[in-house]
Amino acid sequence: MGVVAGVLGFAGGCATVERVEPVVPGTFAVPANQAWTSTGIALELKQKLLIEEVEHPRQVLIKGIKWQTVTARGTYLFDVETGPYPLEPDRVHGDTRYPGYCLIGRIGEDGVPFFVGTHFQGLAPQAGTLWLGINDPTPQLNRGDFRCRISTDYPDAPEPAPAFTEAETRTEALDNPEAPKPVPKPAKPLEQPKPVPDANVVIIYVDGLRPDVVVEMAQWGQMPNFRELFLDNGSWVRNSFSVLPSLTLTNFSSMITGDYSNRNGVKMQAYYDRKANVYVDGLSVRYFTRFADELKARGVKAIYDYFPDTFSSTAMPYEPLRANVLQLNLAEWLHRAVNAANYASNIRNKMDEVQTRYALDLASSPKVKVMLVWLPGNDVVSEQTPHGQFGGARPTIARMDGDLGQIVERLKIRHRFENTYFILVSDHGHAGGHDIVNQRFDVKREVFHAYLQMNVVGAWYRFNYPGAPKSRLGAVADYDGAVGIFIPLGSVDSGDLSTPNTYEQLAHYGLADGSQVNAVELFAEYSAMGRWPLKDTSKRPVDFAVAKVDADTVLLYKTMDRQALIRARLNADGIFEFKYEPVRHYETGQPVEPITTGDPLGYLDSEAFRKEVRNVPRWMAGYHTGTEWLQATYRTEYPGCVNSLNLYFRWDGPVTKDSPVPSQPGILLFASKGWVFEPKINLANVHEDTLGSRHGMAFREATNNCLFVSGPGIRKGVIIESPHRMVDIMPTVLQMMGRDPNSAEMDGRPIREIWEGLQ
Amino acid sequence: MNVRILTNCSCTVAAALLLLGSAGCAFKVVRPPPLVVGSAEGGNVRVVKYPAYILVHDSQSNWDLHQIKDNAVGLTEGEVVHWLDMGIDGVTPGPPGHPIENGIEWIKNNYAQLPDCAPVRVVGGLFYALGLEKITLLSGATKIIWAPTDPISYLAVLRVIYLTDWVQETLGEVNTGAGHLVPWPGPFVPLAVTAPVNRGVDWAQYGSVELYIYVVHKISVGLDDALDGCESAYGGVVWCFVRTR
Repeated sequence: MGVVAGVLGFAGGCATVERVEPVVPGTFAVPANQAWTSTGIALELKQKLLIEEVEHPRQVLIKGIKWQTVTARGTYLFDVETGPYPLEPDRVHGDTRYPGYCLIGRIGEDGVPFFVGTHFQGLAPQAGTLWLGINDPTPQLNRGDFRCRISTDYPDAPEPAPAFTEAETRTEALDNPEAPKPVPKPAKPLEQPKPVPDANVVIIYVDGLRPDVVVEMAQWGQMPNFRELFLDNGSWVRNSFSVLPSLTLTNFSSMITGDYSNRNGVKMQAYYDRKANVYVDGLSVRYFTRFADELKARGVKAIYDYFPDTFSSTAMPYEPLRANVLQLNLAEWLHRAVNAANYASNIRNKMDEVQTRYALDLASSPKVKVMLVWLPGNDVVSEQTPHGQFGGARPTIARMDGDLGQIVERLKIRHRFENTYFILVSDHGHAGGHDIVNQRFDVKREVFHAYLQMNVVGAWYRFNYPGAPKSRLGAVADYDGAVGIFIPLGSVDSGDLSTPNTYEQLAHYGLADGSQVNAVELFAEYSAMGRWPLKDTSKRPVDFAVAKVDADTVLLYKTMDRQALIRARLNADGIFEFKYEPVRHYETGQPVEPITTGDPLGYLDSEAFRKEVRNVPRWMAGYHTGTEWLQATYRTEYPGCVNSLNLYFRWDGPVTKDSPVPSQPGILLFASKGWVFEPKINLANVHEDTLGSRHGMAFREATNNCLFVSGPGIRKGVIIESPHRMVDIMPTVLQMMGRDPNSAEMDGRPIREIWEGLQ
Repeated sequence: MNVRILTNCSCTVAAALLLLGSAGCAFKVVRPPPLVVGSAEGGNVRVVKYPAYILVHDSQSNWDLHQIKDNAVGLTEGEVVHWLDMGIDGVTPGPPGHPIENGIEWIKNNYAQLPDCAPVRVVGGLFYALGLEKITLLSGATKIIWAPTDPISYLAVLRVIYLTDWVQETLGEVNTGAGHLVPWPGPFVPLAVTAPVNRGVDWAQYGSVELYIYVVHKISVGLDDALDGCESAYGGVVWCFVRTR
């Protein structure tokens, strides 16, 4: 290893450095009060380069202030600059991916700066002299220096072993008729996890947190508490996915009930109440108990019903009007909130701080055994900064780590840590910000007004079509990357919003002038300027539309030539099975025209899908359970969509005379990468937010959620590859609390792979 | 003629009053751009022109009526401890340290280290129920002004409920302790007797808290509705002027 040792002098052009202590031989001192310092090391193009920070008793003081200390990793926790940082000069201030004041490098005097932090390992992007510096636009007042060791060689990582999954073994055996039949093993009862007695469960629910982002930040040293609790001493369920649409309220509902929306009834976070003719925005404070009331009326059990005397939570996306644990109720939360935020209207800006403060009260109470802490700050900030979690949301995520640390610390002080299970979960991923900055598609103007000439009510105010009669009304649940379309039955002027249209009705939808259009085609394929070019579907705002064909079938519509039917049936065990049937030009009552390429979810052309199922035609010919579909598709761009999309259009929940039937949109639209369904003109509010990264979409980036678990008996430092879903969290919680997860008859199944000795 | 003049004058006065009454409300006139409906192949088909929209509500402004309402109500929740901490933090360099609040938390954490026994639980429960550290500035002021010698005047509805809970739990501790003095197993007063009473009291306590939250929420929503009405009326007045431009 060619360690460049003993180089203490700096190449010509360097200013004098104030040395407060001797530099260890073989170590470079990079003064923090200079933008750049030459190391004097000449690198060849693509030469190996390893830079590692060396332990150093004195941290760098930014602007010479003693509470603004950093190491080479830099920080997201304070920012005293106003201009762009040298590492990302093209980013607006407050929207940077990399931490401020970190160690950075460049090759050559005009080289492009790159992030070093505490550890850099890579190939030199160009030939020249290596320079190191600080990611600070005004470093002159800083004090101290970074210390690092530089090598021009490092051992290559061993080649990874080829992946071979359980599913491959299974399908290979299934697909080979000549293969010897597997010898049935004698049935023995499945070994069950043994959670500690008197356990506690703490669910840290970080809204919209991307797993890749939080792991990257942990690797950069920005998430020490998260790293210690979950990466080093816990398990990461890497292939965990939300239910569809990947919106907060639908997924929160699946998380706390363990059921899909066909059994809990929560379809969107905003909807048009077809019975009462009222638009309900579930995220509004006005309706904060509405969804919980509906669950109760439908007889659906949620986490607070499973632990009636020991569950408590901070404010949740929606919640029942009940005091689960006396003295820890919503009134106390509000009191804490006002005092943590300084004044009431600041609560929304300091929501994570507020929630954490209250969580400390919960963690201090021995009465609380199961607690849920919702930290929505990340989602809010991600949605309002162009680069989302690859930009301005990072300080919020870094602060979340501090929040986590406080909760853990309190549990330790109260001697509750040792028997506590921690689950860090996000309800969905976030799309955009990394390589794409999202743009808006205004479905109200572009389709409702342009083609249907209808007034529309939505989350962003009622937007009338000039000249349309008042009664000609449609509704949209226009949030993020999924939008539910509610249009009157049969034609724009029927005025009947009481029932959703079927695909047949939508395909022959009546306009005001008596003509008919295919409404699904309009919403999926048109903007006000006409049909989007068919050849390049990647630039269109709508990824695909979904509509109900009959009680058991839905149609996925990307274009006329790229469609798929998803059919459902119950097998002999009473479990739903689904068949995915790619077709073109679907018409009700007509023979279907199968396609062999270009299906809406891209499975037919997916190498990952083919590898998992081996024989694609045979797989497509049959029905498979949701778990099997998830296993087959979890490496594709659309993991586990088949069952989730079909179940979305069903209602199989407990139905009594008085139980409310969920309000179902007639068409569900999913946005393409780079697009968000949101009006270009906000008619609800003077304040106009910047558009950031979003969720709701069906593709992987929006559906891959965080799921990290830690606690007694949980595997440590492990990445679990087998796929899971949001519905698996509630049964896992029941198992941790020593309950039988099967007794609740949820859709989800407990995650066994997290337990030591059960693989 | 006179009636018409009178009507016009009344309208003008009403408009002026509304404008004055909503002086803190900024407004924004939004003129949605015309919608050109056409096709890539066939050129423009028609143009849809929109009227101007007047936006009054501003969720981010502290001068928005809803925010003023929330902050006014929120003032009643401001703890004495919090205001003192803010003062101390204001004159101490560095990030806020909340010294008093953290001091109280330190005491609570250390109290929790005591052995888990009935006296510790009873005393801890009493302080928990009283929530002395949660005394608000307004309730403190009320106490000083209206009833300086009344020790419970700062107790709000919730504190009364919590104290009943504490009494209930303390009686339970006494009953359990007294159980050691009698020959029969279990507490002094058998569970068969106390359980239904406890259930009833619990039901009443939980119900009271729920009712309290329900009423507070309904009042808040009612006020919001009223403010929406004010904003709407204000927007209507502004629109009268904008439309003529």
